[in-house]
Amino acid sequence: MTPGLYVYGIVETGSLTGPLGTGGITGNAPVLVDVDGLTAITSAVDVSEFEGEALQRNAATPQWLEDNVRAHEAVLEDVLERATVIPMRFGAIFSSHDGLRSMLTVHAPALRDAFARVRGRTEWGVKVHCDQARLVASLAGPPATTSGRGYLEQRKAQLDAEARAAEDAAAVANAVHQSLAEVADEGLVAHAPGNEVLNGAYLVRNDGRERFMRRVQELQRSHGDAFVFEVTGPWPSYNFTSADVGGPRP
Amino acid sequence: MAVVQLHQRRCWGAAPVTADLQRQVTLLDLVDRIIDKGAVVRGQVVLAVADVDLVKLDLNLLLASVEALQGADR
Repeated sequence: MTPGLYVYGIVETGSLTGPLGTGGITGNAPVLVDVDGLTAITSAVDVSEFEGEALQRNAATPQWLEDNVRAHEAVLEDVLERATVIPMRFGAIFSSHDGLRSMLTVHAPALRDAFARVRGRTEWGVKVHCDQARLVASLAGPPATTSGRGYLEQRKAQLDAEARAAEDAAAVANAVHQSLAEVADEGLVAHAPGNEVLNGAYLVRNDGRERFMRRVQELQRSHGDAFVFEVTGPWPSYNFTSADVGGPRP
Repeated sequence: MAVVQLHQRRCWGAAPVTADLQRQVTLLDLVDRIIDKGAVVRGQVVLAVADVDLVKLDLNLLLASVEALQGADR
């Protein structure tokens, strides 16, 4: 057993009141560590589970990964509605309290900037999926007469609609993103796989949530059945605190 | 984590979403954020960059099976 300190996230000292949850990474309960006005939410862990062969074994075990990814998120969600939190990426483990203290001291200015950016705000995810068949049908319009000419016209409309569908979906995704960015402090678009046309993340003021949700509902209504909206949140601001806190990106 | 479905996902096809699928869909969102986003610290961190990539690699395998499940629903 090699003792280490897993860090979930950082809050401003004093901003977090009340008890922490009992669950945590690899089953270890979260504990607060204060350093000069910043407070790290940590759990004592056995570093040997996160190194070498043990890590290879653990990372290849879906249940281990799922349990620990969920534990990381659960600890942050428990504090999310009570304090502004800078979420750490999965796997930030310090070998000692001194190592953690030195990181918090050295990177205090960057962390303060990060707090200024996300204080009083949380992240919301909006995905828009496109039902290709419905979209093509709506672009092609209603079937015409049953005559031979009507059939040919209908066939042409169908082909035109298929050709226009991708362009139309991209235009809808762009319009939705612009519209949501108006009611958020910041917005960004991530890669959208498969039938997803938009995978957006939005930093929304906590007192602006209703407005944001109303906007999502308006957009869903105005873009019709071919587009399916899915909203997740509130999340810790993972997408808006991704700046490195200690060195260059790999 | 609240997932607000403004439209029922079943409009994708005939099969309704099972509780298990819903659980995995949220895991996809989780992994999307927790493994790829969030503040990164270098220096005193024990878990080496290469090891984080290893975790990510295996998570990608896990997610591939999640996506296969989602695909089956559509």
